[in-house]
Amino acid sequence: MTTITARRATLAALVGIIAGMAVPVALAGEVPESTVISAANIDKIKHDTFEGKTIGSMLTEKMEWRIRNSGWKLPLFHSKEIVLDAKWVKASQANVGRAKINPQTRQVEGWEAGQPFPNVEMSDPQVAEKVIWNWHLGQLKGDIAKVPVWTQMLVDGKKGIHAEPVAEFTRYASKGRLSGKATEGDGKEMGRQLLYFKEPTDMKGLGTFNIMYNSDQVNDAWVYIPAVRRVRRLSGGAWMDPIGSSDQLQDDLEIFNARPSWYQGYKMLGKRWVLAVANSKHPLWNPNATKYAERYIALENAAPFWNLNNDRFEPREVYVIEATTPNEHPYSKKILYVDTKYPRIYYGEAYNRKGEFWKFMEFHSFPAKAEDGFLDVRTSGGAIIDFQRNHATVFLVDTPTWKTNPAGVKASDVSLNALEAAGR
Amino acid sequence: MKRNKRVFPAARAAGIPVMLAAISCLAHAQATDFKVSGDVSEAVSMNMQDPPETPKDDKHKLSMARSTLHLNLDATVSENISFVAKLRGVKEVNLGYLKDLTRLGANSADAAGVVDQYNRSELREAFFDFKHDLFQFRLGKQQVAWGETDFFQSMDMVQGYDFTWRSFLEPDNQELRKPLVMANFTLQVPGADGKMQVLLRPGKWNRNDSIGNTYDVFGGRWANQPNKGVDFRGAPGLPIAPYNYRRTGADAEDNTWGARWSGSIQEINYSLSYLKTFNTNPVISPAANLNFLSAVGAPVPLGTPSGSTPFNGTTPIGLAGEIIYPKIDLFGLTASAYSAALDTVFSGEVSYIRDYAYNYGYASALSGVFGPGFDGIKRKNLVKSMVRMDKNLALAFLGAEKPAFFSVQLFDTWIKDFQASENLVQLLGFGQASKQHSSLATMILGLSYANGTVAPQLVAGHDLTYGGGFIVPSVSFQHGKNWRFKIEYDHFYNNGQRTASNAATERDTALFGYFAHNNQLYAKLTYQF
Repeated sequence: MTTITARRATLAALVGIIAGMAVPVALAGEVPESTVISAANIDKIKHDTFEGKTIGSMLTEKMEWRIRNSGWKLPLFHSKEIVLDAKWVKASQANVGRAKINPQTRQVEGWEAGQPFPNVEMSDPQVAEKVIWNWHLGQLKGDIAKVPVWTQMLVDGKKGIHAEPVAEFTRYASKGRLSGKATEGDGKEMGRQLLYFKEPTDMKGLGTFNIMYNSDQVNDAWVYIPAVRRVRRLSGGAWMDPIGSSDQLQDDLEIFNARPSWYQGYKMLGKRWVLAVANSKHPLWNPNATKYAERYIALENAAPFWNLNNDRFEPREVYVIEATTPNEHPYSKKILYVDTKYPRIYYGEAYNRKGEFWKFMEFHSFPAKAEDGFLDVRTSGGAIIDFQRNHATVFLVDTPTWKTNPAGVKASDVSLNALEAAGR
Repeated sequence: MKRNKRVFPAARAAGIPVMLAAISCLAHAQATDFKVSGDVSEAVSMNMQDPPETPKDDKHKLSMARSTLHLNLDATVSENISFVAKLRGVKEVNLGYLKDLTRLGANSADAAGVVDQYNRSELREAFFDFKHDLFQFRLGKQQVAWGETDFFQSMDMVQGYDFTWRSFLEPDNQELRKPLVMANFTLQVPGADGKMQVLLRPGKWNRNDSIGNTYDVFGGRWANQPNKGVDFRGAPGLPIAPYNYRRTGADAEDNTWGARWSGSIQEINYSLSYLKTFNTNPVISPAANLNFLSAVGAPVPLGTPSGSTPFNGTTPIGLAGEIIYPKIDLFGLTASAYSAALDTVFSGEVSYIRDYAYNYGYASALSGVFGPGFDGIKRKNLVKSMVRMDKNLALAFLGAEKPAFFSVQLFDTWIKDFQASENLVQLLGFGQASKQHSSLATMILGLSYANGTVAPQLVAGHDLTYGGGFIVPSVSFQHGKNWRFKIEYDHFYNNGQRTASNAATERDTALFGYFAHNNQLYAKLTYQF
């Protein structure tokens, strides 16, 4: 009897131990595709896995904070490889052993096209800077990107969308070209960008033209002001200023838009996995639709109104880089999350001069095929969220109208004259 | 007496929407992309001082209640062909203050209420754009702005301005310019980093009154103080000083043209231009006799010499003279550049104007009656210049969301071969004699709050030579996608002003003296679509 009792006690203890072990085993199960991470289930599934990695390990501190406190929801989808264009890969490989960062000028020398440093190593003391230069010089954006319709919506965290200006932009590469000669002109010019608004009425024709240089020189910038029908030169230092009345600095375009040498420096904080949108649904915005759900395909119609909750979030391995801004910059630093396989920034965190968290930036992208067959990566949408002011700027593209490398576009089509002509 | 081709008959006004609709249908039928946009606005202004000309105390009376409809059509027919049309419909309330001005004599030449001067709907622009490679051709009624500055036209003389409904203060100068029917050719020259633009203005394709600046000479709310209620053009059957747009040497039907090369060297933008155009300011060609006195019953024999000299020995069509815009030549140079060291944009323009027309003199009998400048017209060569500094200022203590936009401009007018004894007047009827150099400074400070939904602005200027100036604080608001609201206070100060009693004797009324007693409170509500 005593023996039986003892055996029962032992058995019960074993069952208890096994049961105790079984709890984490059950919680760490693989969640299926289409599972939506939200404030309602994050505690429940945080220790579960997706593609073998725990959900919690793929959420940065700020991502988890947004999910818990700001209505962000992340539908999970399996990761898909981004197929890299063969010409771009070849041009990138040609830079191996040739491209280097001049420590005196902090400029890249020996680069022709593609990314300048295709084989970055974590052990390299310049690894962070090289990743940023890969982004700056080597984006898979094609020689020309013409985006006739996109919006930069202003969103109040309590009241919703209060402005939806519609604009067109064209980006033209003068250097690092992959069709024809790699460099047009004398090589001084890096590229050009033309941007002008089409709506609303009081912004129609308002636009900017920028020439970017392949040096430390700040951009040449002009604005066309329709109310006076005149082009006016802008301050080159405007790269640190907000774009119009948005929450987005010029420097925040696709999260990081500065010449890398304008920043004080970069620190590699490590590699990790995050859930990010690399194979976005597209379009995320249909300007011709009138019903909310059809027009704002990914944007949830609930406070805080800036969450792009209906997209495909997938595990991506990223470099985490701390970028230290110049002293005049409104931010003290940016934390950037850059894909390890190709130049793409998914997230950015901006901190104010007191070191306090200020803005969260997310950009969604998808691979596409250009008019000439080049495989490019396009932005479908993004958000720059100012959590101190409970306000955001949401960038959405009418992606069906986007054309990369369209035939017949010349540098003269992306010019001051074109800016004036657009301001009709 | 009506201003030449100025007033739209009702049928003609009604025809505009019909024409626009026809163009719209045609464009829409052919267009790959067709947009309609516009806005409806109501602008009101209130007198913040009592204009001394009126018998009542008109302080705090509304001087303007103006409803405006803008309708814009934009059709892209193909990648190389597009069409734009812009209609502006205006309807003003015939306010008690305007009725009072009418009773005093405003708009007497048209034998109509002064409000008729403001109710002018028009097809502001309608042009086709044709593009082929580096060549662009714009044909139709359009606006072209040359030069760098939006204030005090030095090179922005392709078109004249209409200052009758709101003088001096309207920041959207596209609303003031008088668009012209022109052929506008542009050829880009990438190898030289520039472009060549040629403008041709067929005189007969344009309304005669589209030349030069149009000021309130009919005694309306923006007539120079103390001329409210006084129509210098005269009255039906009694033409005192009407416009004459057909005077030889000042003939609106003459063709005019211009050419401009603009480009960039070492990141400095520059332009060189030539323009054959008309005097921006009107001048009076005075009558050589005093027949107007006879016409009003004074015992003066016909043919009594006035002591004045008419333009080119001609005989004016008015009893006291005629208002004309002599032709001038303008040679211009502009430059703008960014200084990274100072984080500042510097801009400048210099224009050499040949044969600019001034009225002069205090001696003639007409100058004694109407005020200085009725002795005649003198032509002078001018050098007008402007330098500007634009800088974004980080004024953290103001709490704005981004650096404040700050701009300072300094203007100078240099009269070549100047002789003080010629007594060139600044403006007809006012005593301040021109000096060889006259300078003026302006500044703009613009701020932005709450994602641009609240935008205060301060604009100010001071006449460094003749004294006086203006201070204009304003705040613009945005509400949602459609609503805009602006409130503004317009304050003028001066160094001398003309009164009913000192007309022939005062010698210190210059630009800001004209605006004496014109302080305004202005508000505008706009719904855009």
